[in-house]
Amino acid sequence: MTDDVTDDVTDPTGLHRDAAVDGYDELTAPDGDLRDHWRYVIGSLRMMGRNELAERQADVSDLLRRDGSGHRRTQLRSQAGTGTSAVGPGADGSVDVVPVLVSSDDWSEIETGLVQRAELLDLMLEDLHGAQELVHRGIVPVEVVRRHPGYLPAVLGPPAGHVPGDGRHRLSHYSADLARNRHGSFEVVADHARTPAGLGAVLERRLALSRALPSLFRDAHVHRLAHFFRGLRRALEGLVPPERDEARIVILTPGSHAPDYFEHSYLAGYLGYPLVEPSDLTVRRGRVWLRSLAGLQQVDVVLRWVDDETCDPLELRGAGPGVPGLVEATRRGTVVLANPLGAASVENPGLVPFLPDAAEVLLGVAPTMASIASRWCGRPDHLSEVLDAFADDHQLVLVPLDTHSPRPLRPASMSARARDELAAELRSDPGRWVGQTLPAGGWVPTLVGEQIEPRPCLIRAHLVSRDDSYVALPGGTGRVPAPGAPLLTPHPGEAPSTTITKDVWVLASEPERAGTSLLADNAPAASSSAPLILPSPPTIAGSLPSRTAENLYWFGRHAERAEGTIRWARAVATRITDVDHSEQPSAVWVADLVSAVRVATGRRPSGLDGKGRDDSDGPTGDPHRDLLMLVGDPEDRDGVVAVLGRMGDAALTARELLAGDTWGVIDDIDDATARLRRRPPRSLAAALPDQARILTALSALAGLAAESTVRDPVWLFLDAGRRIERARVLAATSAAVLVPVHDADAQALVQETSLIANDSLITYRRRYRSRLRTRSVIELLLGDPSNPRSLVYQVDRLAEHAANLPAGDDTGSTPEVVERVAELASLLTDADLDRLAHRVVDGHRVELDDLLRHTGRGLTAVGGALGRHFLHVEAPRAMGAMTATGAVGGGGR
Amino acid sequence: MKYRVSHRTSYRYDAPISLGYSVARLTPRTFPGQVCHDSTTVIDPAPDDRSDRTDVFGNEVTWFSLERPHDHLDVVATSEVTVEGEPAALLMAASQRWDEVRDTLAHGGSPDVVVARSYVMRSPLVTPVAGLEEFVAPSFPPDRPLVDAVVDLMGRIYRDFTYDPGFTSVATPLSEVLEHRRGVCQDFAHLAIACLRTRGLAARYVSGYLETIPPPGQERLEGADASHAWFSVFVPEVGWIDLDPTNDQAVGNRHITLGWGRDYRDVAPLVGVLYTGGAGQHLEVAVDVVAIP
Repeated sequence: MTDDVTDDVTDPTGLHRDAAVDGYDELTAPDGDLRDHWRYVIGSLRMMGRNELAERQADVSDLLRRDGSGHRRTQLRSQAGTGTSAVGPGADGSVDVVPVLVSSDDWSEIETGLVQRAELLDLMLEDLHGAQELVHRGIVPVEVVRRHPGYLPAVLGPPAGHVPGDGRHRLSHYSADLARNRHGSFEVVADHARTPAGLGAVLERRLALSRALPSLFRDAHVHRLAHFFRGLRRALEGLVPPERDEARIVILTPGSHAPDYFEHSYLAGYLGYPLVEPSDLTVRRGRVWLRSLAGLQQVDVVLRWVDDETCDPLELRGAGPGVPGLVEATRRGTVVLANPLGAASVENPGLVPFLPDAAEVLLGVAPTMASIASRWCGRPDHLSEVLDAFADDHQLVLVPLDTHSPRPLRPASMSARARDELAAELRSDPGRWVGQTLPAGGWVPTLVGEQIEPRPCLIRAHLVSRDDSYVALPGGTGRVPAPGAPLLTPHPGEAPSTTITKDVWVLASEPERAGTSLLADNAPAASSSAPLILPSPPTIAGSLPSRTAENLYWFGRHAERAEGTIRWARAVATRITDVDHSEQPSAVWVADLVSAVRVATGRRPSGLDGKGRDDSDGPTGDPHRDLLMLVGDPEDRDGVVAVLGRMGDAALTARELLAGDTWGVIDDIDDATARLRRRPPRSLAAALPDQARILTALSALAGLAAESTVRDPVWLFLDAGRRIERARVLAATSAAVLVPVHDADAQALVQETSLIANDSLITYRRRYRSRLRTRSVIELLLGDPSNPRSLVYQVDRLAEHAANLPAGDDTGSTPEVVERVAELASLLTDADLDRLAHRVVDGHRVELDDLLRHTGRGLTAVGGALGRHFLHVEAPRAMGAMTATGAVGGGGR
Repeated sequence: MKYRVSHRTSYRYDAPISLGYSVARLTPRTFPGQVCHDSTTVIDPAPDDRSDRTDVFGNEVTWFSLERPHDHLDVVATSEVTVEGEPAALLMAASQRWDEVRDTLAHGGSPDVVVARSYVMRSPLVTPVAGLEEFVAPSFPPDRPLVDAVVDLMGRIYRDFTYDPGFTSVATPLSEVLEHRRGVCQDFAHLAIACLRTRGLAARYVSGYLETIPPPGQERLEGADASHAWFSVFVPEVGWIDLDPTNDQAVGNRHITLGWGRDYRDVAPLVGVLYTGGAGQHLEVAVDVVAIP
């Protein structure tokens, strides 16, 4: 970098697009000079020029997509609709390669203001759910408190273990949306205390930007984030009751359907805490337990991403299953929620006009950071101020305080009629409404198309409790709304793709020591000695939710099923395209091959049901069409597209446990299936290139599983699913193609196809060097323990897994799994190769048929036993309630 | 008057319940006008976990869980209560006009007014519905004394609405009650509360029992009584006045109060959540209110 570039305000590179700044200009000072803290970064971006910057932007998008922000995230968002409330910045649209820069002076002003605000809201939370001094002294109107949905009478009163004024924070974390006003001061636009929404997304975004702009990031002296997350861990560990030796901290997510699920999963992976859903937790004897692979394990602290109302269907009334009894457990203090139930009550926009007075009472000082101008219409003077500004003030928005995440209304941009209706609503129920004047915002350089232009930006900051104060994350999320949209966090129901999000770089006044890690350990080294080789690796079974283990198992099965189907379809398609049907008198073997593909997908071979009736989706007699349906028809429930969809769903719920690069591969697969959905192929030939790509990706998944997964229960269930499915496909397809006896030529064609589909042809040629003999094919595919695609190989692996199943689960199914696998193994041990190959009755190898049938049943039994290993939970339902029908007395009716 | 109240709730399940959690509000509270001498809540099967506490409204609450498979649940609450009705309160309140009371509630700062103000706001089961305004207006002309207006409203509910236990369930919305002019005591209490709140007045829901008197010549049937509900309206400097719209009468010494809240949800006698693979559950409730010496 050279000074003449950074100081060049006129920008000869054409990177900047001229646009008016209608607020505070973050880049340029009123005298026209660049602000100091922007010089280096903007200078470097200019030196890159338009083309390179566009490439770096593409890198950022690609990195985030491969991290899981691609197809599945979009899908989650589009499915989510308006039902959910806690939409974090992770659920936004594109991420800008240009960061928001905050100088260290500005940051210390922000941090001081927000720490004070966190302390104030923490005390208010205690007061509103306790003594209610603010209400009784007339500082805060009771309507404002009671009408907000975050106020929960069921939890009113301090939970056990909490002594008022004991100096411990109720709010473990707190987040705020900030924006600058025209004069450059920061104002708080909104408070967030329910969930730490945005905290996982900050990490994802930072990682992507620091990879896409490595040298810029390194030289810009950006504050690192890891220190804050160590603080978060310390805060959560500090909530553990002292008598517990080994604390279990979990992260509670509504589930993989939540629009910001990726963020939950990312944070869980980063912090190393199990990610659990409500159904993974149960309350027994007043304590909370995790349904883990090792049975019920007590949980001490829950970092929750679940709204208050959906936490406990017994005492709170939200939709969703929740954890019955959770409120009672928190009341008894056996578990601590971060943040506690009721925390949402301080997000109330109606409290904002009363915060300065509340601060005087609770803190004894005035707040240093202002809030946006807010008026609670329940006060007549505020109502008339709001109504006066109704038609002209474009910065005025109205929010109802009785709704979580309300959609803000902007009267000035409404039609006159709609505005009158809204005014009438305000007059009829003024206490419901809060009028807010949005600030103009600090305008930051933002990449739009290939050029940079100034756009107004909202910043979300995060704080965590530390000792008797709070510390702020030196960073956050910058959010640039679509042109004309209000400077607010997008409403959950809005199309999020219209917002641009940005990484926030807080610049250090001096370089920070690089390479801080979440895992940094500053404890002095122990002086004892220990062997290098771990005698028995620590078990994670107690932290692995049973549901997650089950999803790993299905991830393995679906991946293998898709792979088996594609391998068979490709081998068969190549074979039948080679031959001319008119010259094939014994085309019956073609039907055998089509049957093999059908059974690989899990269908019946012939399309005839058990009673000899035709199945609606039976073969049509046109083999090309039948195969095409299975590999190319996105609507076919047994087809490859559907199976891959189920595979991705299962993987999603175990995302943080899978090897780092897994999600990039799954995104590639989603890419391919999305193409197939958009344009289903018309012919087999057209379908095959996509299938080949999918097959490569599936092989990559298998490789990642084999080489990057520690041999623990995660691996066990993933691989057991894969083995069971591969064995099933092998047994079923062998029954279709190896059991029927054909003439020598036809037999050779069929058996060769089977070797290709099982990736064993090369081995066969090298080993047997002769023409195809049924006996040798059976030996290689079923009985060779050194062939990773043989039946006996799968059974051997299953036996190993059965022996390693976590003990101590209370389902008692482990011995059953071991026994079923042993039965399967003895079937193969007892079989005689010559008889399998040569005992023929009515054109069928009957002993082979018999063995394969029994194998199929044995595999079903193993799968069933494993299934019982998972603790299945029904959804909780409400007990019937009796109406107070009323006693009719005194000679009534 | 002294009463012994027994309230039995019995569930029979078609399939075993693996886990069940419940909250019961079956212990009568003590307050000026009522003394609860003794109250026990017996749960069968014996719960694996149980705790008793007082909730935010001052009602006694029992939380319990059944953590082993069970096919039935019986909750029997037995209480001895003395009730001393104070009809004098009605007379004391007779002079205050309803619009004055409304203004006091809106602007007053005394502690009981601040507490009462939270009963002016809507609550989960009592929200404004269409047609309510037309129904409530005739009872509240300007300057009418509050007690006159509320007693008039109660009488109109009594006359215009049909008591029909077959019509409503716990989930029947107020709008249907208003449209069909039918309901049970719970609905009538909710309706009256909704009406009063539209006028800026504070009204709460009271859960309890009523001693029934058999028609002349018939014997009292055991277990024939039921849970009862009525409403209560706040009068500054006087307190809360209870009125029973189902029977068109001021609450006197034949009404036994369990507890109160913003609406039914705050004081439901027994609610629960359970885990089961089966569908069917059969519920029976038997209430006996017996005057004792």
